Amino acid sequence: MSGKSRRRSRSLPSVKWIIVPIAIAYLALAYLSLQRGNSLLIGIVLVLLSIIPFLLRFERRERKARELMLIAVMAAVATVSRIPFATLLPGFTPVTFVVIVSGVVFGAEAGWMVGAASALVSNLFLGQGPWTPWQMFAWGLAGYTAGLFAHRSGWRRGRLPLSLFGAAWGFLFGWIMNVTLALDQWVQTHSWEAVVGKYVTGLPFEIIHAVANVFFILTFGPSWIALLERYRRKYGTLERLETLEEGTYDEQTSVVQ
Amino acid sequence: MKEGFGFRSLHPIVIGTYYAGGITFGMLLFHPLILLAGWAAAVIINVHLDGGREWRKWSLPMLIGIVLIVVVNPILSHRGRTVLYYLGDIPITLESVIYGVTLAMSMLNVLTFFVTYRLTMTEQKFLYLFTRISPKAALIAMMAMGLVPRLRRRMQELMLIQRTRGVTVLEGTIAQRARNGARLIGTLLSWTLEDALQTADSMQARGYGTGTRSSYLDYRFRMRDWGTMGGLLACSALLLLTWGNGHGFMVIYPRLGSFALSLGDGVALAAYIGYLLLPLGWEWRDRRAWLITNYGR
Repeated sequence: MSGKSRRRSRSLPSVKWIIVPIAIAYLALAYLSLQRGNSLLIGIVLVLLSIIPFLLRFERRERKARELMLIAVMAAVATVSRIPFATLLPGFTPVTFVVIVSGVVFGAEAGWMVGAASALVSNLFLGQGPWTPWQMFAWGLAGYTAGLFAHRSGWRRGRLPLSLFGAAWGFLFGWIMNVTLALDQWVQTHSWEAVVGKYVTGLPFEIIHAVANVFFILTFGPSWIALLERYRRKYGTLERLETLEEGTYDEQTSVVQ
Repeated sequence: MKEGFGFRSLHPIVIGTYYAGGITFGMLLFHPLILLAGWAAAVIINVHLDGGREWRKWSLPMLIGIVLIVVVNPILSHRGRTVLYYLGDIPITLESVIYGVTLAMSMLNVLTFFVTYRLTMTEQKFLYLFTRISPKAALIAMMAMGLVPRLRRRMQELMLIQRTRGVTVLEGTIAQRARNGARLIGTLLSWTLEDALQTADSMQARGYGTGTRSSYLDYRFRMRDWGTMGGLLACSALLLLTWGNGHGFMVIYPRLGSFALSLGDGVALAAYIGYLLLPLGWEWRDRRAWLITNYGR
């Protein structure tokens, strides 16, 4: 490595602050654009901004290679899992299931990372587009809320509560993805009817998605959770964080077992 | 050879800026003619980069998407003065149709432009760019990406082998197929987790986390990068100036305005197209240089 790049790497921490002026400029642009009746930009700017706090939280902690690897594997598996189902129904994907299970086992932050990384990586193969940030947001949030919902609770990991949670995310995911067009509809017409109409046209896909989630969680939820739980212990990762946060964690896991 | 040639040889920062700006402007401008010109420019870039192969692969899904937008918009939105006809009780207005077309153009424009992103922004460049902002997340994304082809091969292998014992997604009822599919993924997961552990330990052994990470390729910010960056910034400044003065978008609601481009719209259009085509200048220059040095013409 040349001395030049060493020098550059020392000034690295400051580089990320370049985000702040860019974010402000984009917010201003999006606001002006909205005033002129064009809502395309505001949605995507807000979604990208909402990703930042999660990223910062994730970056702040020191991570072992094993933790990163575990998250990367989950994201890759979620991506690949789209393949055998591509020939089935459109919208019938196990990605949400994989993300939710990762959130449940590895906790909220890791769940968010798995969701966001799955969206980013699967779109590298299926095609990036303006929907990528929205999918990152939606799946990331699915993983995050799954962690909050059931990571520390034994009974909520059960088939029934988790499948209800999965059904809810089947709908929420589609609704989040529809925000761009619904927002556009609202700016266009200022009528709730048109917005609701937009959401109703997407309903069949949401139902398929929700059914897929419920199906996967009912049939494979417990076995996948057990499998990942075993690997989490084997890797010895993503546990340390929780013990730092809460000393009571170990007792809770023993209750879960 | 392709990496050091033309558009692709530019610095990741320049390419990143180019795409961020191109997409932003594609969303800011809302005039069917300007968007049509932008789409044409995006197609030209596609053709220059890989003969339009990747773009053709995407043309069918893109077509379906824009047809959906064009059809659904007038049905949902009834705003506008000029009613074309009544679909049962629903008034279909000219304004709403034009709005739908413009929105579809805007989507098509951004999507076509995005196709070239995959051709120029390689994974190495992406990693180079994002390790500065978010090192761990960028590393995870790249590791997951590297895993995908391997997992795909394994998946194929698993599907083949499991088929001999009747576990397949190709036959049976839907519920059965879905069950089999998830079983395959479960097997894949435990297989992969097992050897990912070794990869992680190998990373640890080679000193992951002992210092800031370096990048395998060291990109230099060359003269051509300065030139391109300057040109892009100049075009953006001009575009934002005219846009700020109220040009570059068409009045659709409540009554359809004129399609004609005013002077300001013309300047915005020129700046936009200039911005989009600027990096192709290097493509042309390098092609010429190649011909002159190799064939003497």
